[in-house]
Amino acid sequence: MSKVFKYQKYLQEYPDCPPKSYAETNFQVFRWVNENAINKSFLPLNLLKYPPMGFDKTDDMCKSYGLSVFNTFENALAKYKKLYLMKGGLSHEDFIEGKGDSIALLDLKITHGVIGDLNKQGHLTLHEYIGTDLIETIVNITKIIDKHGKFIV
Amino acid sequence: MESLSFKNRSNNIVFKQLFERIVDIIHIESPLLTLFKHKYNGELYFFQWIDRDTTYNRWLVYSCSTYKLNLFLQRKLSLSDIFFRGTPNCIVIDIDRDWEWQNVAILHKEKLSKAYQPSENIFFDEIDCLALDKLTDFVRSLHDKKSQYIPTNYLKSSVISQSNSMPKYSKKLSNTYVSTSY
Repeated sequence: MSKVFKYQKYLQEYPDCPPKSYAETNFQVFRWVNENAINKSFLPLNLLKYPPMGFDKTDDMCKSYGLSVFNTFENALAKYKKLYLMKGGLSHEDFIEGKGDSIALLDLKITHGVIGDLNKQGHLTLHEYIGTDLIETIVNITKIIDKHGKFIV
Repeated sequence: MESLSFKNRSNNIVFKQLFERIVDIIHIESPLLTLFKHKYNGELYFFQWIDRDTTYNRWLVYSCSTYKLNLFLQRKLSLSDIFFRGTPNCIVIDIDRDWEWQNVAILHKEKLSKAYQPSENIFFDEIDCLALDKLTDFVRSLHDKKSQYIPTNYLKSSVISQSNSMPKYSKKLSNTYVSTSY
């Protein structure tokens, strides 16, 4: 499999992107996904139709061409719940469209890309290689919120 | 995104230059709550993300005194408390994808829709702050300034009672001073 990054044309605009500390690894991670739109659940934030959040171009622009994943189900759930609490004017449907309604367990292999920058929230960023299809890495999916906004786990 | 009446529109470029970003207090993938300081009068402001469409991210801006910031960091006040116990007005700013501040407006808090008002259930959690040392240093710098201070020991027995459940952050502040300005 190619070791060119899927979004190389964007990454090359930023220094040390992805950082050299990122590494290929066999690792199981958890990602928010939309159970009814799985094929749209693996797009980096910067490639969604919305403007990047933040206040200037130093705000996580490299990371935002990667994908957010978490090291445990519990960390993924806790951060999702906090985000939901702060969804402001977004409708439930809009929030689900952006962040999903489920947590998927992904079985990552070294051929899929590089991962790094584990922070205290258990959050990591994954930069995929060209040819990676993360849908194929899904081990299972757990729905976490119903259509009324009630958490079910 | 809700349509707002942007009366009292400010000069956006000048307005943006008035604020200095200090630290993100809640950061999950992106900033959600950021502390800013007014460059000229030193007042503190919370910038809370509240909405977006394909053109803008919308931020709610409201003042937060040093005293209330301390109480928030010690989980004695919620974000909602900070919002409603402050001045009667707030600011709404739409920021575009080039990070330009557009549609800056001053609104009365009571006219802000419920969806935009901070939830009563949002309290400080140090795990949400990815730059806790920076936040701690900034708060310390505020305490070091000469103004009206009272020892935390006094507050321990009155306004702020220490507890075993108090987060590590709060304990860091236990030997400092808390401003009485409100």
